[in-house]
Amino acid sequence: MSELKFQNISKRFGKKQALNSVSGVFSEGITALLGSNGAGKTTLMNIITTLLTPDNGNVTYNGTDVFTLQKDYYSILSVQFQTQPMYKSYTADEYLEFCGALKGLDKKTVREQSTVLLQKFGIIDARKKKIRAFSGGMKQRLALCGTFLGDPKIIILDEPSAGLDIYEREELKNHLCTLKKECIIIISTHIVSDIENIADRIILLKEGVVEAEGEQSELIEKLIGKVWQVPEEAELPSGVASYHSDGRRIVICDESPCDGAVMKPADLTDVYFNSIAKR
Amino acid sequence: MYQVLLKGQLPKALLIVLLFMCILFISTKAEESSLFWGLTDSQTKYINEHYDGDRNKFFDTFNADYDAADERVKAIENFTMYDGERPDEVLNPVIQAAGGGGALNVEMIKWRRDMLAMPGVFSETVSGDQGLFMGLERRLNAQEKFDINLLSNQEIMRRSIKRGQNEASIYHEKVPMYETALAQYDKVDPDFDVIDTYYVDRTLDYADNDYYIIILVALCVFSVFSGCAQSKVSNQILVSPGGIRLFTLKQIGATLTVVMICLIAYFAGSFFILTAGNQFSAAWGLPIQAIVGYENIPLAVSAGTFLVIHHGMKALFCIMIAAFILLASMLSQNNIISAMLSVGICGALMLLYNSDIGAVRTNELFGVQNKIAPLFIGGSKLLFEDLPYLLIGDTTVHYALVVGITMIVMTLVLLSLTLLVSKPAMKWRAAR
Repeated sequence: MSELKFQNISKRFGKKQALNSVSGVFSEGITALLGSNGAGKTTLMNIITTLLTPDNGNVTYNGTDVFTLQKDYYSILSVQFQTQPMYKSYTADEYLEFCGALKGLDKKTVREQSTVLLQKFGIIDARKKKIRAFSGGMKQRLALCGTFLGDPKIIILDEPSAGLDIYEREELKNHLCTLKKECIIIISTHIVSDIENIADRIILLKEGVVEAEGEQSELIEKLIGKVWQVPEEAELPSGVASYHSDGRRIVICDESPCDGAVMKPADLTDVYFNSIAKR
Repeated sequence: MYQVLLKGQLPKALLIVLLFMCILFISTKAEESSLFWGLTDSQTKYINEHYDGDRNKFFDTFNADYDAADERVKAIENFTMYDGERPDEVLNPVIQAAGGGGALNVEMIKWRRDMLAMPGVFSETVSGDQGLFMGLERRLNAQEKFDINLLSNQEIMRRSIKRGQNEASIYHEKVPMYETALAQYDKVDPDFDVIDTYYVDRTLDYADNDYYIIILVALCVFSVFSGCAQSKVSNQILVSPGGIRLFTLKQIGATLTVVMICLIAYFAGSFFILTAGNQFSAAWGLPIQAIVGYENIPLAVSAGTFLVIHHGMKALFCIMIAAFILLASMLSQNNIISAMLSVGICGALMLLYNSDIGAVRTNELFGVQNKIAPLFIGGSKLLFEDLPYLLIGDTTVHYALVVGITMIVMTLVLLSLTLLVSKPAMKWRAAR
C-alpha cells in the first residue's frame, strides 16, 4: 500500500494565502479534491507535483520527501494539467510519442499503448491529425491518453472532464475505476458529478483550508436528516441559505426551515454546498 | 525524444527554406538564370557588340538601329491598332508616366500617339522606354565596373610582382602565383558578359541575403522555449523523469539541426548566385592577393578557399545568433517578448553591419575592424557585389581561426547558460 502524504502545507502568493496549513493522505484509489474556484486545489496539486515549492510543510511518498525523490517520483507520476500542454503542430500520434519520450518509454510500448488508449477515448481516427484541428473535447481526451500512458502509479487529474460530453465522462469514470486498485488517483474538480460514486475519499477545500475530509459515505452520512427541499416561494429564516440542485430548492439545516419543507436523502452535492455555504 | 522534437520543428524549417528559395528567385531575374544556363539575353548581346566605352555613341547607334529595324513604326502601329480599346491596366501607367491622371480620354490617346512619333521614343509606351533604358543602363554600369576592376586587378598583380621582386619578404615567394594570375587576367575578354544582379533596384535584393538568413534563423528559433512555456508544455516536462535539462539539451539539438537545414539552403542559394555571377571560372583558384582588399595579405589562400572559410564563419555566426535567441527564448515565457528580443538582437547586429564596422574594406591588416569583422558576418554584401568582378571584399582570413574558436566558445557558453537557466526559468514560470 503506497502513501502520498502532504502535511501542514502553506503557500502564499503576495497577499493571498492560497493554502493554509493543509494536510491529507492519498493512497490507492480515487481521492477527489473538491472545492470552488480559488479554493487552492490547483496550488495543492502543483505542490504535490513539485511544480511549486510550499512555504511550509512537506509532501512525502512512502515516507520520503518528493522533492528529494525527484526522478524516482516523476517516473511513477503522471499529471493531466488544467491547461492542456500541447504543441499544436503535432499530430495526436506525435504528441503521444512526445509524452512517451518524456516518460522514458520506448517507441514500441508507446505505439501499443497509444492505440489502446486512443481507441478507448474514441479518437483513434484522428491520430494522424494535427492537434490544432482538434476540438476542445478531443484535446482533452488526447491529454488523458497522454496521462494514462506508461502505466503510472500516481495519476493527478485537474478538471479531467472539461470539454467532455456525458458519454465520454462515463468512459473516463469507467477507466479510472479499472485503474484505482493499483494507482493513487487524485482528481481536482468543482464538478461533483465527476467524482460522485467513484471517489473513495473526498477532500473538501475552501479558501485554502481543508473544510471536510473522509469517505464519500461518511460525509454524506453527516447530513442525513438535515437536507430539506423547500418550496420556491418559501421565506427562509435569517441566516439560512438555499441552493438549487436538479431544479429543486434545497436548504441544509437541523430542523425544518419552513412550512412545506420536505426532508430528502443527502448526496455529495449537498456535502459540497454545505461546505461552500458554511461561514 | 530528439526525433520527436525535430519532427515538430521540421515543418517550420521546410517552410523557412521554401521562403528562402522564394526570396532567391524573386530577387534573381530570369535573364540571370539564363546566363547561368549559358544563354545570353538580347540586350546584353547587343551591348557586347556595340558598346566601346562611349555612352553617347552607343545610344546614337541604338537609336539608328531601332529605326532601321522599323521598331518605332511597329510600336506606332501596335498603339493605333489598340487605339481606345486597350485595357486600363496597360494605359494608366502610360498616362501617369506622362504626368497625366484621371480618366482616359481621347485627347490623352492622341497626345500619346503623337509622342510615339517623336525621335528618341523607342518602345510602345513611356514606361516601356524607361524600362528599356534602365536595363541598358544597368548593363552598361556592370560592364564598366567590370572593365575598371579588371584593369585595377591587372595593376595590382603588376604591383605585387614588382614588390615581390624588390623586397625580401613573403611576397617574394608569391611572385610566380602573381604572374599566373596576371596572365589569367590578361586573357580575360574585356567584353566578358557580366550580370547586373547587384545593381537592380528591387525591394528584395539577393546581395542582402545575410539579412534574410538571420531573419529566417530568428524566425525558426525565437519561439522554441517561449512557445514551450506559453503552451504550458514546460509544466509537463518539469514533472517528467527525463528532466528539464535533458529536454533542453535535446531541444537545442533539434533546433540547431533545423538551423543547419536553413544554412544548407542558404549556401545552396549562395552557390547558385555566385555561379550565375562568376563566369570566369579561374577566379576560384586565383590567389587571394588578386582581390583588392587582400592585396597586402601575406597568405597563400585562393579565392575559393576564402569563400569556404567565409561561409564557414557565417555558419558559425548564424549558430551563435541561434544560441543567443535560444537563450532569449528561455528567459521569456511569451512568444511576443521572445520575438521582440530576437528582433532586438538581430537589429543591433544589422546596425553594426551597416555601420561599416563589420564590412570594412581595408588594407590595414591588423586594424581592429579586421579582428571583429567576422562577428558581424562582415563583408558579405561586398562579397556578393564583387565576386563577379573578381573582387572579394573582406579582410578576415587571418583571423578566421581565432574568431572561429571565439564564436564556438561563445556559442557553447550561450548554450550552457540556456541549460543552466532552464530549470530555474521554468520553475519560475510554473510558480506564476
